[in-house]
Amino acid sequence: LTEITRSVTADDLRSLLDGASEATIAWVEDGHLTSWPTAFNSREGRYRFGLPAGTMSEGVVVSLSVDAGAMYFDLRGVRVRGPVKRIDAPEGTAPSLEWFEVGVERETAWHYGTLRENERRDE
Amino acid sequence: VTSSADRFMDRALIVRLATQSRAGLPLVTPLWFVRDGAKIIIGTRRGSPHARNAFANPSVVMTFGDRHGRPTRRVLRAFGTARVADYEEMTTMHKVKLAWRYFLQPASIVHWLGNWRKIGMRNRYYSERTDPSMLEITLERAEFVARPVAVEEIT
Repeated sequence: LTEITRSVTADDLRSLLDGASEATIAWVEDGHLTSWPTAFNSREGRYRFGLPAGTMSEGVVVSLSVDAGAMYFDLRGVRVRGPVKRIDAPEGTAPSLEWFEVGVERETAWHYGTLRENERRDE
Repeated sequence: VTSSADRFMDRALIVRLATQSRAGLPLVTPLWFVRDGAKIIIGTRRGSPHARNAFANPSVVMTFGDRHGRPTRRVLRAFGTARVADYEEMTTMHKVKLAWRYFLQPASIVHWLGNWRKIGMRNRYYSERTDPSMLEITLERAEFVARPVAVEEIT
């Protein structure tokens, strides 16, 4: 059985990740959902983001989306989920921000420009 | 929600919708949308993760951070309550607005014509997904925030 899919791997979108300087995150704290735009740095395949100091606490689980495109076949992105730990500001980035890294537990990537027939996956 | 926020949303092409699963896990999903007064309308599938989350936890957060597809320096954070509705509730006005924003602008027309070979695959993609639905999000409040910058400019 086959299906049409827009799924790709994060490696397929490495140029997007390496070139991205912004991302969007969401997390839940004390039962309340919140979401913020963040600075982003993905060198060495790591998912690192910067926020104004005091915006979030270490250890919370975030969903982070790095995406691009507004027209249909340009829509693409990578989304990861996992707990965050505080890190030093990556080299060459703004030290005024508080930087975190996502310990990736789940990773999803998509690119509508790659729609194709594929073996159906059992989910 | 102020008129400046309304204008900002109308110029944006993507909403990044944050939802919370039944288990309390967050999820960010970039989506197309239209604004209808104090409501954000999103076409989706009832079985999509963000629709299932919105059904379980209707409080959502949206961020709007582009102007005609280009990133903006400030971002609008908007808070709202989502309702998962039948696709049939999407009005003709909503569909016309969606078509105007994503199919009928000059750049869109160029995009669709340039990718005409892929349109059949796109149609098959949606024909396999048989649970069309609609998210109707009632806006409650919104605020502008500065987008954190990864590399500070040297002045």
